[in-house]
Amino acid sequence: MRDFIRMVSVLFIVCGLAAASLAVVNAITKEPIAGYEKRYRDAALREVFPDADEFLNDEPDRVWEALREGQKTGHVFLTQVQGYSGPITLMFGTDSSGAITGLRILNHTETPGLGAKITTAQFRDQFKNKRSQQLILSKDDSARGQIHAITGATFSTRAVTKALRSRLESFNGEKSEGDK
Amino acid sequence: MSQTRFRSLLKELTKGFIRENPILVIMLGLCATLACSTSATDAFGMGLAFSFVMLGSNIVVAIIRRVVPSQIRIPVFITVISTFVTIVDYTLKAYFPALSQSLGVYVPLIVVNCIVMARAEAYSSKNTVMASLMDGIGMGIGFTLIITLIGTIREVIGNGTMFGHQVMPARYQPFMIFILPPGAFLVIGFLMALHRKFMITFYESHR
Repeated sequence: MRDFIRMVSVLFIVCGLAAASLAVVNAITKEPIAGYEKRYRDAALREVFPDADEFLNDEPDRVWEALREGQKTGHVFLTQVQGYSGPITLMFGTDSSGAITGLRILNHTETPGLGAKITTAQFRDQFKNKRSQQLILSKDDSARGQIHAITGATFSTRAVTKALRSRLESFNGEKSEGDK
Repeated sequence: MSQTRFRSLLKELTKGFIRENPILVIMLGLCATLACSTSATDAFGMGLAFSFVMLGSNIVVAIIRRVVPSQIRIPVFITVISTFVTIVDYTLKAYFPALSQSLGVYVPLIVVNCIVMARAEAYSSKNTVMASLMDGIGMGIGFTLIITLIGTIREVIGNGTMFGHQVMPARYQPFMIFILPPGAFLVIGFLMALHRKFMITFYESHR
């Protein structure tokens, strides 16, 4: 019985001390972590929609309304898609005519050297000024497709392209239903 | 401090570098070694994060070794280790966000890195605080050295860069396989072979 009490009290004290020290660390790092996430997100918003000067969160952390001098000029979307080896989180903007203003890959676990090239400007810049019906790999549909796949990473590039197209299509669908 | 005591402490410190190197000899914690050595920068960051956890847990385990009943030592060790890991994780997230992003899930996974647990169980729970401190520093340095070496080799061959700077001529076609998981196994295998060869000749000449 004495052993039992000793074990319980030692474990209790150790866990209590661990919790207390973690509480302190959490209190110290909370501000910088939240600040960094906000800065990172703001930088991404500005990058995918350079023309806008203000972003209003439309749907929490999924859709933003882009404003320029108080006027609505388009939207920014955050979406996630299954890539080759895990989810790809990406952000892109479209102006009011439906053309894409920019794309940024926020998070991915694609193969380094192959799929990871989706983060390069060379790949992402192809999407600029494209409309949803043009967002097809040129190797899948040579007549309409406007996006060139990265050699050796067709799967990753197709996933990104499809993510943009389906997000735009579902958004346009919601919009036209709302108009009725 | 007497001469012999100092000698033995120094020995505790240096054994982790080569003779009992955590990666090449103890061969524990290879998961983190494989996953975080795709570039020299990531590898070095992982090495430092690991060293901090190793050092912290070794000291705390050595301090509390007499009060912890042996039946519950494992849960106590795990609590201690995971506390240090969480501290590292939060600190990286707050002050080194880029590094934290590229190391990803492997920082929290230091909890299950078996070297930390093995050192707690096999060394610091049986030795003085001072010796455990030396052991922790030594293991940390040994791990950091080797994982950074692996990261550098993989990055140079597999990507033509070192710590992010181009070192190979522009015409160099990188061997992609060295960045992929099989490359890690190849590099670690060659390093282990070299290490054994070196150790055998070293011990024969010092006998």
